[in-house]
Amino acid sequence: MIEILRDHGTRLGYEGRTVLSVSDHIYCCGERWVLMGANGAGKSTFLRSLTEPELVINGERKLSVQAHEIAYLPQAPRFSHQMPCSVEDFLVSSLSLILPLTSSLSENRIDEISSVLQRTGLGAQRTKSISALSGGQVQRLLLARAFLLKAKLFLLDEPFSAVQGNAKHELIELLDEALPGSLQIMALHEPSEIEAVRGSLIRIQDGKTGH
Amino acid sequence: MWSLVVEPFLEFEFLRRAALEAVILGFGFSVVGLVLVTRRLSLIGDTLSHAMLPGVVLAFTLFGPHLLALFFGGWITGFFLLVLAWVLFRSRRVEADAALALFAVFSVSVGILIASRTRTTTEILHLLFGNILAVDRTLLVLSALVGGVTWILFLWHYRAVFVALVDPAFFQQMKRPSYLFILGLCALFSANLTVGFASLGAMMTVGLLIVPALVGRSLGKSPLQMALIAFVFSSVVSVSGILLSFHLSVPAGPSIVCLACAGLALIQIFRFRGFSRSPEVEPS
Repeated sequence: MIEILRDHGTRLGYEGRTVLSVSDHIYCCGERWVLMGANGAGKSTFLRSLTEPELVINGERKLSVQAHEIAYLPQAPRFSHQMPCSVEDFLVSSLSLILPLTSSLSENRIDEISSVLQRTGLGAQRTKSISALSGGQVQRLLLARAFLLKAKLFLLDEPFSAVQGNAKHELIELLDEALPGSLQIMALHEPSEIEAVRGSLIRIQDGKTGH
Repeated sequence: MWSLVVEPFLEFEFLRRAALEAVILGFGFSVVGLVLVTRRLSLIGDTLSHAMLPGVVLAFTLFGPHLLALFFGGWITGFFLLVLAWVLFRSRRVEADAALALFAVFSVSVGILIASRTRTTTEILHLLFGNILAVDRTLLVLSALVGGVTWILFLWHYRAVFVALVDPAFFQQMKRPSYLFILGLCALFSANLTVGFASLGAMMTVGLLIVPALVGRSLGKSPLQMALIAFVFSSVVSVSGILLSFHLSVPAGPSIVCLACAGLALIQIFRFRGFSRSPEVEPS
């Protein structure tokens, strides 16, 4: 088992004020964890703290992945609606970001983009502007990017909240496919979704997490 | 036509210089303006102009009216203000615009306090308003240098700029911008604005920074196209603005900005009548 995240006495908070005490645990590749808790319990704080280390105000947290190997899907993604950008350009430029300055994407990668777009149900949106996508399509686009980036740590904040019925199951299938090579932590509150993703539960209550 | 448009430039060197300076300014501004407008920081220029006061005053008191000294005074002060505002913003204590406004008022008051202890208040205020008709060779070279560096960095990091403009949150997570990167950006922005203030003056610089960027953004399909359109647009309004000011005997800076705004309005009217953009979905 490849260790990805280790928490020891970790406390999360803002400006020195503790919001959430995280129980000690070692999280490994191939695991899927579901964060459960009431609104405001700290689910989003837990997810955000993995991309914003300044939220960790106490204790030891060891994260064994690079920043670019983390895919964080916020609850309400915000794009700049002023900058025209097609779905394809969005993915191409995102993937190019981790390449050296002078090189460009290989043919294989471009093909891969089309196939992932098909599988996330965005095949027809390829040349559409991202500002014309619906909420559910944006969530799918961000998942598509996460797959393409071969993320090792998926942080998903209500990833299916705007996705409907069947499409949900297709996305879960894709997540299943990526599971052996990644650790997936997601915040969910819909019981049917929690059941469908078949993950281990982390309950967040009274400012503490419990397994 | 010839006598109206070309002869004034052939006859007067100061007009040629002013036009050249305005075009050069528009070059660097096309990139900086695009970034500021898209990231909703349009008024940063206005804020910085006030904030530069203590640096400019101090440089004036120490070295007299030497352009380079004044430039560095303004540049360094603007740079520190941007960095401080960024630090405050990052610590999540205040919003970016509030942080900037806060330092700006502090900076202005310090500047006025320093100025009140020297004899040269009015001269300094003149400097802050700039005069594009009195641009000299040093300022031309300085502006070209700043604009050139801006474009080299823009093209070199083009993909990163694109992602940073479309999806800032993702960019921040992937790149975790290093301190060096942030400092460099602050220095670059501050330098662009300072050469603007030195020639166009504080008020008018914001006009040349924002209006062409808005035009570029409404017509271009990619950041590069937008910046190029902004540059072409600002060159056209700069040269025509200077001609206008020459023929009507009115100040050059406001002429340029007025023409730019008129151009923007015309382009928008034309666009709304002729070609409509794809329907935009409101961010939820």
